[in-house]
Amino acid sequence: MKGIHAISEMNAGEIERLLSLATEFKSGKATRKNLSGRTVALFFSENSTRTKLSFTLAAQKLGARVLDLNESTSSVAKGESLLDTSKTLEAMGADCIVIRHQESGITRYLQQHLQIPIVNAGDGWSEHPSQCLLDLLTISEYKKFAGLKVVIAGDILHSRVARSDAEALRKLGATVSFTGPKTLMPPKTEKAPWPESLKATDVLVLLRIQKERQDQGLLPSLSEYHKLYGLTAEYLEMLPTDSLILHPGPVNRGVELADAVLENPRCKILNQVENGVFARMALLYAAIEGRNIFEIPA
Amino acid sequence: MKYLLKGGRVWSEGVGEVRDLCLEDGKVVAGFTESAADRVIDVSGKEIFPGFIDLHCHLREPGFSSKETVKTGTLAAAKGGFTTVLSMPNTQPVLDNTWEMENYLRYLEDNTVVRVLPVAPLTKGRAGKELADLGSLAKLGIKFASDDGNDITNVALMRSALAYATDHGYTVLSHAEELALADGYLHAGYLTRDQGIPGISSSSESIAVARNLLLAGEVGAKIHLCHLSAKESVALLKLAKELGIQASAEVTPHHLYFADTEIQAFDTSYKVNPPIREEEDRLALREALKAGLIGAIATDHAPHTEKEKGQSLAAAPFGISSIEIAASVVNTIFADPALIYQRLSKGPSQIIGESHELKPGELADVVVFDPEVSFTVNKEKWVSKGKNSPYFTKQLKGRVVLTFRGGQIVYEQ
Repeated sequence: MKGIHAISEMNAGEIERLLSLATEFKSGKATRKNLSGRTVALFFSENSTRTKLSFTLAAQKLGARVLDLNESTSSVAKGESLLDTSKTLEAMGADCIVIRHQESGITRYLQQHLQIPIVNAGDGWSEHPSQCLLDLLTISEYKKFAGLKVVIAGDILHSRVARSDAEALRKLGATVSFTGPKTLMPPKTEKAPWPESLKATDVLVLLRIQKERQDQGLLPSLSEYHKLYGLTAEYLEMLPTDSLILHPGPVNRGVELADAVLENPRCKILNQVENGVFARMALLYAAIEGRNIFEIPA
Repeated sequence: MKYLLKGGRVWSEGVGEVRDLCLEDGKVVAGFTESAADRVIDVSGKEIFPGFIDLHCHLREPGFSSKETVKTGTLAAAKGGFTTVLSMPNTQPVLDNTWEMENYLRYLEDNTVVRVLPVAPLTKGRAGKELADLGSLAKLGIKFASDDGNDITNVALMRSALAYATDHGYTVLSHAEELALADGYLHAGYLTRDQGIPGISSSSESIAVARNLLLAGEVGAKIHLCHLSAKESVALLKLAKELGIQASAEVTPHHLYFADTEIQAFDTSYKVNPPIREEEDRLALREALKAGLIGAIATDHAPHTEKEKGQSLAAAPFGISSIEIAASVVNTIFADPALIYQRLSKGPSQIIGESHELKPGELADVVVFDPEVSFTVNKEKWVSKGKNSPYFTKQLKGRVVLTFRGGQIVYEQ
């Protein structure tokens, strides 16, 4: 299988290889690894500022040209299918397409029809490999994965970040549990007790709560969410002092976490943003020059 | 033509016994000498059943002939051993008035290979707003009614439809589905949890099963539950029978054969509604089928074009094409000819209220089944226009070798 689509399709060795590549880029030791002369096309059909900027920067740092296809002004708005748009980008000579889309599994579907690799920048509720890799990179700067206790809190049902992170962390030897309101848990999912489980947590990943969940009848209010399921200043004190707090952003202050959390040294959200660029450099490089790095199995 | 089928095990009136079967002028007859036969066929080692009856099939005409036609669909049915099929009303236009239905009945005469019993819609255009002309349609001989995949949302209208249909002798076929809980693509379980796919919960079926059974009981309607998929629905059916509600049910080969842990999340050939559920559901369905609580196996043959099914998971339509190998799937699971007889011939004939035996004077609808032969399902040999089958490349045991419809051979391997 070409491209970078899903952590669920990778084994621990492949995840570690990507992680060490990202580390190499961050340390500045990978100067010979570049994408000079290559073209990376971006197609984001869901709003995303930071992921898109981060991929753009990553491609530019590697020396690649960046083509940004804006959905509202592109032919997709005129009714062209995503598959036809992707084929057009391929025909224009793009070496890789980075896609963000609301449908789970869409990049895996498109890849069956394309020769050039696709990098999944988030597909529906399913996977978010680049967010996962930057989370791994951030964690790896403080912790070992084996035996690590990770709690992912919030809207697990609709979260591609939760799925990719849990998949990768479990493959690397960590223990991952989920918590949040029952209305936002996928089927067959056991809930970790909240806030009790915070006491033994090494890494807490907070997920963004979409305001529309209230309209869908899944939450009574964002303020109740904060009080009962958010990381309040009080709950923060239950976390071990050497623990890490992550969040894929953008943060809803006063919903997933209290303002005070952002000021706390355990909070690594800005480190995540910084690492995002290096993680995405690794993914773009692996996707385009992948044959020299590793083969992603079918 | 006089056919003599020699040496097979003939299933009729509840039992199978090895004997010769004679067919003459479209009927089963008491017997004639071998020399009097126009054709003698050695069927020793084979099982001979009354032709299979499919209570649930989509022939797609009028409106969707790129998916299937009456001709290709009934040729596939004949290959599968089916001599009678009920065709569902999700056509374009919907045959909700006598003029359209009469046209369709004439079209059937010229195009069908097996007997087709059209199912009338319960409401005009299957829109769930106004009752269809059920009384007039009944005068054309239509005996079954259903809004198929559009279960009537308005509960008062559903009760009214059941009552009105009952007045005109219909059996109502119920595709039970609470749409508000069915906003997904696959069964809400391990697969949707792990892959992040919107799921269709079992309750989306069982809640509507309970509702429709209770309404049928209240107005005294005969209700037949289509393609049951969830163990809770099975339990509710049992309860309804205990309450004296006139209920029957069917299950599809794919809900008996597959469980969600065995399927590929993003392979659209498994995308079907109701979805393939869990091991526990499959077990409950198999047990209910064996016990006779579920009286029939019906295919829900739902052909689509390769272009439609070649879309992404969200865009591809629901449905599995399977009518031509249904009996093979059942035999592969159960290896029990008595069960095939009971659930593909006898059970469905009782549900539609017809006698269906291989005794003198009955119509010569006959299927000859070889229970021992193994084969790999081959797309190249597929007769239906709908190539959307998750069975391709699967190894199955047992197949139909010969089908008679009214004494004429409509399929011979």
